[in-house]
Amino acid sequence: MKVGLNGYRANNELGTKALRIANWVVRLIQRPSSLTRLVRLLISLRSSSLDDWAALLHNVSAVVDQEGALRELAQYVDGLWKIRRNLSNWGRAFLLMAMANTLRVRTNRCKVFRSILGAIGGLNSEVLSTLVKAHVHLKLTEAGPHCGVDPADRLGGLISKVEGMRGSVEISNESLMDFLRRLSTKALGTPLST
Amino acid sequence: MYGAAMWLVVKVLAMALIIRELFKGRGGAGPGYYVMTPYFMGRLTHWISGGRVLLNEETINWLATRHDEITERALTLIVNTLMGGITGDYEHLRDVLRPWINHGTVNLGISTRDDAIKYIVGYYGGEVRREFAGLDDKCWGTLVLLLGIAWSGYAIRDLGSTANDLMPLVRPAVEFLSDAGRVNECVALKLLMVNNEITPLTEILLVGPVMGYTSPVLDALAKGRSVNVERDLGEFIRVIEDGRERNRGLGLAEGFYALGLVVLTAYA
Repeated sequence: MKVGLNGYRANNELGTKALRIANWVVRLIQRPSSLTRLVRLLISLRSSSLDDWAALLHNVSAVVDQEGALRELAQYVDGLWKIRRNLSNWGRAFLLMAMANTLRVRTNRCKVFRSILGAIGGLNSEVLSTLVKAHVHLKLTEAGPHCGVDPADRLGGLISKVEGMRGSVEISNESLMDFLRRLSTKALGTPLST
Repeated sequence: MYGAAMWLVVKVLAMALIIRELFKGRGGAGPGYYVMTPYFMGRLTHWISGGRVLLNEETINWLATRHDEITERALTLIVNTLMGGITGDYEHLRDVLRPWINHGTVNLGISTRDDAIKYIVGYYGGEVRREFAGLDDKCWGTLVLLLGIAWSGYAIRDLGSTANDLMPLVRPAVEFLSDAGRVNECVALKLLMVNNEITPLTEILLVGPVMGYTSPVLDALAKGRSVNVERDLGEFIRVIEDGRERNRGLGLAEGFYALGLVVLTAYA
């Protein structure tokens, strides 16, 4: 499908910029079918920046609640999971969160849940892994079953952990900043009309 | 229009009816709604007839518009007959339509929207691209905005009229698109938009790439514009990063424009 017009194809920087912007504008789109349609087009930019692609998969799967659309997104998430070694810390954090967003449509939920938990340890950032862990537990609570953990208990523990991090130097961690920059919340102002 | 060229007129009309049939949608859409822009219908029939002007403006406008349910049902029957699909009870219709069947039956292999769009792109893609060649910056920016709107699932009227607070990059496009009277300043826009609405055909031409075929419209919009696209995307990143601190964010219209750029980049 990629046409390969001059000036676009080999330009990774252009692709990266487009993916970064995509992370902000996906919030505009309300219909799940329009969102998956966009993701289907944007996969051609994946190799420009795997990390931004991971962020996109999270930002989209976080707002889609229609099962068919979520199932399609789960395939993209799995595709990225296979090459997760090529992701940086914050990209991996997004991948894990995207994975958690798709728990609801997975048949082997507890296995996927445990794979996510297993991978969080490698994030190399206390704050980042705590944020991701909280997100994963939240998503597991929504999806059920509990897979042998008490999410409420875990979330409580994570909240006090974050409390304890207040004022910690790690807030200036570059990886965390990159992560926060791509979270699509707050990016768009109040729509002019809906 | 008549005489020796009569068979050609019938043929062009038959093809126009077949194509419009696939985009007219089911009931509900109501009479008066455009199946495609009259300008596009005009160009299409012009291309199909090999560059002749065989249909007058009134006919073209009639073909581009959706009519009342009874008329539309009759047109569906005619189209099915032309495509050889009517038998049995409708034998009398075949008799009435004999001259049409002799001259207008066309086996285009078109039975879905997908077929129709492949037909248009396959045979007249070059002509469509030519219509979009050499756009000025204002026209190009407006089409990028329209592209973003089509991909977002919103309608043009959702743009609102608050152009004051917009990024300078986006403002001219929003002002242009909100002013129906200025559509003549950008002929390419007339192919895609009528009465400030995106027609069903337009939507497919703009969001088609994801369905597996190339879009002559996107080809033309992307070609030779990579520098503009990259500069504009950079501007959006700058504004959003700044805006985060001021908690401003992007407005809806700015989001549409940015989405148009993103789609163009991913497509190209």
